[in-house]
Amino acid sequence: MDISDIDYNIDTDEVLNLEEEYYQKGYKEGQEHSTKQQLTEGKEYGYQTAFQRFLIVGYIQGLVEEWTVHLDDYNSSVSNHLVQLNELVSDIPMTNGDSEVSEFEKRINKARNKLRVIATLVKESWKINKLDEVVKQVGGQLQVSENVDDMW
Amino acid sequence: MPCEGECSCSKKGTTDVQISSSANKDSNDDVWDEDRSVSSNADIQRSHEKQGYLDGLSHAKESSLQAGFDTAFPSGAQLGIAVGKILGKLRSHNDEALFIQGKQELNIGKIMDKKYFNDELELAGEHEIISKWQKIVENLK
Repeated sequence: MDISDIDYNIDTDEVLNLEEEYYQKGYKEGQEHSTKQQLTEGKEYGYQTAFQRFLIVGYIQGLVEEWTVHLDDYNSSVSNHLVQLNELVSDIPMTNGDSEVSEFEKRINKARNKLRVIATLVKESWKINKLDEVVKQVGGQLQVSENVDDMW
Repeated sequence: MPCEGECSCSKKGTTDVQISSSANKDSNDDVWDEDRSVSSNADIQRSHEKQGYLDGLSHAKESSLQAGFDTAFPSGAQLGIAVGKILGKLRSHNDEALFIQGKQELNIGKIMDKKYFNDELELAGEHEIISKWQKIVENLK
């Protein structure tokens, strides 16, 4: 066997291996960079979306607390409704899993109805009249996607 | 020897790298010359790493966007609830001017200001604006 042939082959393999190694090193860095960027972008969307969706939960909690504190001012028939409304919004799921999200929707729908009943009973509909407008003013328009459902 | 895409990486024709030192005419043909083998090696490294980097950039791990979304969601929910509660209480006190001021200062753009979050977008301690308005609401009673 010619010794120079052996040298040549080893040299070529080494070059190819090095090229592949460098490429992979760069690839990994590029992938890590864009993965991190997407993770950050996802977090921003997550913050915005959840913030807007949960404003109404807090708003209802605030109303319920104030009504409860001043219960003496109102007809006692309202207290039962307040307890029920409080249950609907107090431990509402705050994660983005499928079942939690559908539970959220269910509770919000019930809570909206209950809220209307209470506001009518205590003759304070002005507190909830522009609720959705307030949520929009404070939470802004979602910039997540044309179809919000795509995100879930 | 220009890269013709016959090397082990997948991109063709985008590099023009001196792989060996044989193209250098101003010296002998000693391929083991340390200086030149170092510099050509650095060129190869740079071009292949760069190509790999560019290819890697467009291949972010698929679930990362959703993972970020799910991670931040509960924190966003907590902020939303805190702000909503303040507004609900403000509303209950029927002070229109204060309610309008609250809506402006507690707007999502102000709450989500980067200065309140660390590099991982986690809330660093309590939120200044929210704490301020929680105190305002407490003092209404």
